Amino acid sequence: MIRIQGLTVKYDDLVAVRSVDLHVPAGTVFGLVGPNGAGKTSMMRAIAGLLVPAEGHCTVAGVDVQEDPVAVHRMIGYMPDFFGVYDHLLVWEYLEFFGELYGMSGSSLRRRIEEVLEITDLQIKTDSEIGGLSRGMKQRLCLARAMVHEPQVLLLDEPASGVDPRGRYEIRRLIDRLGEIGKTVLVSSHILPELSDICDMIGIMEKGNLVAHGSMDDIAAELGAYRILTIHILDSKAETVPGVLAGFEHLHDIEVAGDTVHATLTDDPEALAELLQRLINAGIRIGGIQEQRAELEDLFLQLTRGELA
Amino acid sequence: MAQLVNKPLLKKELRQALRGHGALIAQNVYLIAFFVIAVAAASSHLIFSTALAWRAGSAAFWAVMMTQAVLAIVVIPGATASVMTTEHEQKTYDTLASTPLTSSHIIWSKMLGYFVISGSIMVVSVPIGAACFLLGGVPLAPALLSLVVLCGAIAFATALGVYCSTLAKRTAAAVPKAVCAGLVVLLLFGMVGQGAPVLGAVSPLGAMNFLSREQPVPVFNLAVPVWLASLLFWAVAVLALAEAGVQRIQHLPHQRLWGVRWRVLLLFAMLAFAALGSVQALGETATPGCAGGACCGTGGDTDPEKVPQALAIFAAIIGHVLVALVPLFAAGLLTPLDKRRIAGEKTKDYSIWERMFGLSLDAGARYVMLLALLTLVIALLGMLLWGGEVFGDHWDAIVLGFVPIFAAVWALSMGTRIIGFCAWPRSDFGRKLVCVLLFGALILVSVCPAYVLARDVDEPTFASELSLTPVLAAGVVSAFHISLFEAESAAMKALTEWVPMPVITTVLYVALGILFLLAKRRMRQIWIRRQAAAQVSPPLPEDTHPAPSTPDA
Ligand SMILES: Nc1ncnc2c1ncn2[C@@H]1O[C@H](COP(=O)(O)OP(=O)(O)OP(=O)(O)O)[C@@H](O)[C@H]1O
Ligand SMILES: [Mg+2]
Repeated sequence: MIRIQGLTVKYDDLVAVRSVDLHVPAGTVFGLVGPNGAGKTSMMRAIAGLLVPAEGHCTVAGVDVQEDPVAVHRMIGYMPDFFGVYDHLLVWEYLEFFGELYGMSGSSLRRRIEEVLEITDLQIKTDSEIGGLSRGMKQRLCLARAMVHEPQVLLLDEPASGVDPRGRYEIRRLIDRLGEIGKTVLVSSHILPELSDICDMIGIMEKGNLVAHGSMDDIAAELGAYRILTIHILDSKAETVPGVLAGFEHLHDIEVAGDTVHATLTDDPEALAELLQRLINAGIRIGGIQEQRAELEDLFLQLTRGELA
Repeated sequence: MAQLVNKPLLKKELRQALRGHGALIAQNVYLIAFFVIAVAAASSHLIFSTALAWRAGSAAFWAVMMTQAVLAIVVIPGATASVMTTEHEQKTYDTLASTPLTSSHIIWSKMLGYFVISGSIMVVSVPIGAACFLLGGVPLAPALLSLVVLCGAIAFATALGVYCSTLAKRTAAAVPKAVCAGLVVLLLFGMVGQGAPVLGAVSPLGAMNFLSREQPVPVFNLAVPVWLASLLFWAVAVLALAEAGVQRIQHLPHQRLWGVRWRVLLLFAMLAFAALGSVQALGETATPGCAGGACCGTGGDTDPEKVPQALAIFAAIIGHVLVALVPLFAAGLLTPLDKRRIAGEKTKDYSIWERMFGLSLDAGARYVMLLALLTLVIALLGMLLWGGEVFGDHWDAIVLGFVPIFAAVWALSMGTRIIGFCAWPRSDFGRKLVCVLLFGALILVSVCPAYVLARDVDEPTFASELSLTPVLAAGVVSAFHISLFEAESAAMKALTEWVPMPVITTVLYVALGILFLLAKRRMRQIWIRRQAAAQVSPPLPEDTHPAPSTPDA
């Protein structure tokens, strides 16, 4: 649905995005993660046709953004990271304005406005002046605005910043639901765990480079991430385990505590199979296995060194 | 039309602007103000005799229409200059730009919206106009046509404001640009129109003047109804401004460059046209600077003897407009280079304008400078081509007229730098206000000698008109005085027997500039000392806040 080829964005001499290639298939929720200044906003703006890239192309549903921005704008709903709202309009007027910009009108528009207000939990504010809404409410209104014309593609730049924990949860659930009904969503955040359970795919950016992208598992494997196994050994044979596993290349660390063994292993199904095979071959009986994956936070920190672009 | 104007956007602009009591109050104040103007204009005629009621009607009607026309050009650009900048300031621009709207939609819808809003405020004066109508003395056709002309002026003023709004990201930067541009148009067309009736007639004031006399405009050898000339001109101007605005918001750098060249070319063409117009008009008549072109004939041959004189007057008028605008621009020019130099910038990074005047000039100020240089070139070129032997007699009038003008610009910009260095007033707005007030006072002071000098010039109309555009009237008038009119003023003769008047004026302004320069030096030292003190003293409480680092997950 969204295809980016060799995208480079420059502000004078500063390269904000460096020849990024990316494909987001239709119906995917794609999370873009990176520290401040990584180039997330720049990339989104390029896709939304709000800036002219120095090199490369972005296409949405096969339409080049630079060639036909109006056609692309019809398909997308863009929520900027910093945005404003027209303080003197009423909430419904604001949504009506944007709905009409996309060619909607009459009762279908009115129904849609009610829908998005319900989704974003703003019904009670329908007739309020926007100037009187709280920051989080404005954030939700902007999200409602991005959805009012039922776009196929949503570009959400940090949609949850400034929203209370409950609101964050709701926004996550909303994005999840958008994914379920087949929308393509590109959502950015600084916080990886916030995205990991709702996103089908993740891209990690740093200093303008897309350092990794794919499903969570793919990224973990690609990074040589590890998992920690807690193995419960029967027959008091725990002491012998380190001996049995000596020389096993996927094993990073091993520790024995009573009847349990803590083994740190490469995050690879093959490695686990091999380990179990070795133990069983050595006649060691296993009472139970608990697995603990490397924390997402660790992963993120491992990938990004926190340097600003 | 649907290609250009987007209905929802239009609706939104109207909703936003007309919400609240602002529009209602504006309309009422407007109504009362114009009622007062109409009564004042009518009363002088009514006092004498009721038989003169028709004159009172006519006077009141045209007073109202002319004031409105001038008001439109002066106020509307400033009021609409925030149209695009507030979208940037409120950060609503990105959301708007990511919808299917095109840049044409945005510019044209906003222009139409604000045209309607400005128009709706002005519409309240229609009852006053109708009342004047009852007194008699206002023929129907010119009265209706004056409304057409007014609409044209409003459309132009709105387009100008919206265009200026695309030139800046902040309202504070766009408004002075728009107001200056409106004043340039009014002054340029009004004053150049003194010499070139073709241009004078399209100025709203000139057009109303022509209409009230039911007089056609002489366009070279044709007589054109003034409303047609005016409307055509404004329509072209609106189209050009809208197109320029549309180009500005397409984020395409190469088009912008072309836009600047195009505008400079247009400026040059306009000036050349105005110069030609002056030559044509003045070549035919004996009286230079006839008001509103009222005394211009149509047709006839141009007297080559008078060409250089016409060009000299033209150049002098432009020069006056330029100097009258300096304080206005100065108000927008409060970024002294020295602050930037202290901040580590190198002198070679500055543009030629910045090095000349010691200020970072914005686009508007650069245009004024350009205007002055272009006028000078046109005037000299024209004299070279047409002047023949008389050229030798008059070139010094122009050159000597311009030297004091540049001296004044220099002096005033030095003054601006002082205010730039003062920490008082604290706010940007306050400093700008002080700037305008100070320079306004300076101008007032120089009006007096200018008027005294001008009073003695042979041509009373010309003299009084020149003294209306102040500051350096003295310099330029004297240049004319010596070279063109050779008046019999005893005071002038006594003075200029020894030193030419422009030299005196230049010396005066250079002295003033040096005085400002010295004051600026002092201010700079104080500023540097204060900066140094701020660095060693403990940081201000605001700086000691811990960086907000806790993620709000
Ligand atoms: N308008 C601009 N002009 C100049 N440089 C810019 C502009 N916008 C962004 N940059 C620079 O481009 C780089 C990438 O910025 P961008 O806003 O895309 O990052 P981001 O990942 O969205 O950061 P954040 O998480 O802070 O929102 C930064 O170094 C920033 O300084
Ligand atoms: Mg960002």
